[in-house]
Amino acid sequence: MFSALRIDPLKAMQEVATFRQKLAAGLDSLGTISDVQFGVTPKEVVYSEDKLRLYHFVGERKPTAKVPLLICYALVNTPYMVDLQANRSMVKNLLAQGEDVYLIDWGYPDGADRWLTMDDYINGYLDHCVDALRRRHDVDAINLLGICQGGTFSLCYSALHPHKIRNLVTMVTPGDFHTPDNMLSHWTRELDVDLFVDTLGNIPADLMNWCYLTLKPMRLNQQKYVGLVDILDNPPAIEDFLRMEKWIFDSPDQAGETFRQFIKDFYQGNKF
Amino acid sequence: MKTQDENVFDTMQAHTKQSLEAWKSLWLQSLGGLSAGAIPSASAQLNESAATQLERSLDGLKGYCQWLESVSTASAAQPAGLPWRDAMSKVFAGGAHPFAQAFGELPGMDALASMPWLQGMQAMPNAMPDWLNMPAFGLHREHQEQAQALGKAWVEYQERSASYKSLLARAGAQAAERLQDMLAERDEPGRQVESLRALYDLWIDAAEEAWAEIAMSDEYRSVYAAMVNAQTRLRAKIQKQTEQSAMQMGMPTRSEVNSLGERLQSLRRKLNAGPDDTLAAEVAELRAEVAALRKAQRRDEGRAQPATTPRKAPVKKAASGNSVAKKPVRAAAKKSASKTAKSGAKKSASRTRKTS
Repeated sequence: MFSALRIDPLKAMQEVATFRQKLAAGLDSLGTISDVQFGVTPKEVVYSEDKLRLYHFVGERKPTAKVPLLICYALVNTPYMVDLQANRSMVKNLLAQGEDVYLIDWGYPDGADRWLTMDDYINGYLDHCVDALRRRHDVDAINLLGICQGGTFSLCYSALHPHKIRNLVTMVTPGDFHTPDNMLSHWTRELDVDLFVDTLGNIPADLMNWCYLTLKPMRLNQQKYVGLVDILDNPPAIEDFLRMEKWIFDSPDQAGETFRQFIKDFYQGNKF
Repeated sequence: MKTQDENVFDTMQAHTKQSLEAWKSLWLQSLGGLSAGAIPSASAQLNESAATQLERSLDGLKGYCQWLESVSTASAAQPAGLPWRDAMSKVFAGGAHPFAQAFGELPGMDALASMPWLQGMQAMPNAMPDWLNMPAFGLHREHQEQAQALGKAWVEYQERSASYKSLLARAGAQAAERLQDMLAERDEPGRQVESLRALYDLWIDAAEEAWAEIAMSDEYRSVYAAMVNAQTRLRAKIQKQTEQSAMQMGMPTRSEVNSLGERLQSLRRKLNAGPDDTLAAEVAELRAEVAALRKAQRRDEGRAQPATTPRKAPVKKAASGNSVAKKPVRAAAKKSASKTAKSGAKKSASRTRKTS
C-alpha cells in the first residue's frame, strides 16, 4: 500500500532552506523598491465636479474613432486598474485601436459625501460627464464601458438616458444578483442595512476589504503571502505584486446612502 | 525517540520561525537607523508602531509557520504505524482552527472594545446579568436605562460572535476531513504529495472548499447577519453615549453634522436641478407678455406718427398716450429682469460649483 505523502526529508529541508534564503534576500530587494508607480498613460482633466475628475487619455497618435468612449468604473475600487502598468493597461490597448478614451475617477468620499445617493451618482455625476463629452465632441450619443459596479451604474444610466448612449459595453458586471454562487449577495440578505448605514455613515474601506478577503480567506490572507516569498529575489515581480497589493487596499470609503440603496435594491432586492 | 522524519519537521518549523524573526529584526533595525537622530521617545514610538504594522503584515507568513508547526506536531505525535494523514487530520481537527487567524475581528472592534463603557462592563461580567434587568428610578433613570441597553447589546454581541466563531471552527474541522479525503485520493503512485509546499497547497484547497460550503449555507447567512447586526447595535449605543458626553463638553456631535450634511445635499440637488418648472413657466409667460406689449407699442407709435408731424410733439403724445401701457411694460420688464437675474445667479452658482 502506498501513502499519499511521499515527502523526502532531505528535499523538505532544502525547501525550508530555500524559503529562508528568499526571505533574507527579500529584505534587500524590498529596500531597493521605492513607491510603486501606476497609471502609465498621459492624461488630462477635462471636467471636474466635487471630488470627481473626468480624465482624457492622450495616446501616441490621434484617435480614429469618431465617438468617444467613456469608462465608468466601480465606486468600491480605484479606477487606475484600467491603466495599471505598461504591460497591463486596457487603456493603452484601446488607444492603440484608435479609441478616444475617457475615464471617470469618482474620488475618495468623505463625510461631506455621506448623503450622495445612486441618483446623485447616476443622474448627476455620470450624466454630467456624458453631457460634457457630448458637448466636447459635438455628438448626440457616446459609447459607455461600465466595469464591475460601474457596469451596474452604466446599465441604469443607459436605461434612463438611451438617447445619450450609442453603444453600451459591460465587464464583470452582475445583472442577476441572486445567482447561486454570489457569496456577497448571500451574506447581505439578512443584514439590517438601514441600521448599518445609520450607524456607520460612510462605509469604511477597511470593512469592505475585510469582507472581500473573507470570500477566500485562506488563499487571500495566507497563501498569497507564502507565494510572495517565492518572488522576493525578483524585484520586477515584487513590483507587480506590490502594485496589485496597493490597488487592492487603496480603496475609497463608500458614500453611506449609495451603499444603502445598492445593497437593498441589488444585493437584497435584485431589482434589475 | 523521534524518527528522522519527525526531526526533519521539527527543524523545518524552527528554521522558518527563525527566518521570520530574523526578517522582522532586520526590518526594525533599518527603521531604527533611520530614526537614530530623532528624539528617543519618538524613535521608540516609531519602532513600536512599525513593529505592530510589521506584525500585521507578516500575519500571512506566521500562518504558514503555524501550519508547519502543526505538521511537525502531527509527525511527532503519531504512534508507530498510524498513517500520516490520520495523524495530521487529528491535529487539524482539534485546537486552533485555520480560519481564526484568517478572519480576526471585524475591523473597528478594537476601537469599540477600548471604549470606557465597555471596559467597565467587561470588568464585571458576573454581576452584569442581574444589573442589566434592574428597574431604574429617579433623576438618572434614563441614563441608567441607556447604560443597561448598552450592556445588553454587549452581551448580545458576545453571544452572536461566539456562534459565528463556532461556525468558523466547524469549517476548520470540515477542512481537516476534506484534506483527509484529498489525501486518500492520492494513495497511488504518480499522484502522491512529494513536497511540503504541495501539501500546504492541498491544505489550502481543502480549507477553501470547506469554507465555501459553510459560507453559502443558510445557517451561515443567518449567523453572520446576526453577528454583524449585533455589532452594529452595540456600536450605535456606544455612539449615543459618546454623543452625550460630547454635548456636555459643548462639542458638535455626529448627529448634528449628519443633519447639516443631509440638508446641504438636499439644497444642492435643488440647485443642480435648476429653477423649478413653475418659476420657469412664469418667466416665459412674462417674457411673452413683454414681447406682446412691445409689439403693440411699436404698432401704436407707428399709427400715431404721421409723416408730416414734427418729431417732438408725437413723442410726447405717444409717451403720454402709452403711459398706461408703458408702466406694465416697465414693471414686467423689471420683474422679468429680476427673475432672470436670480435664475442666472442660480445657474451661475451651480456652474461654478460644478467646475470647482
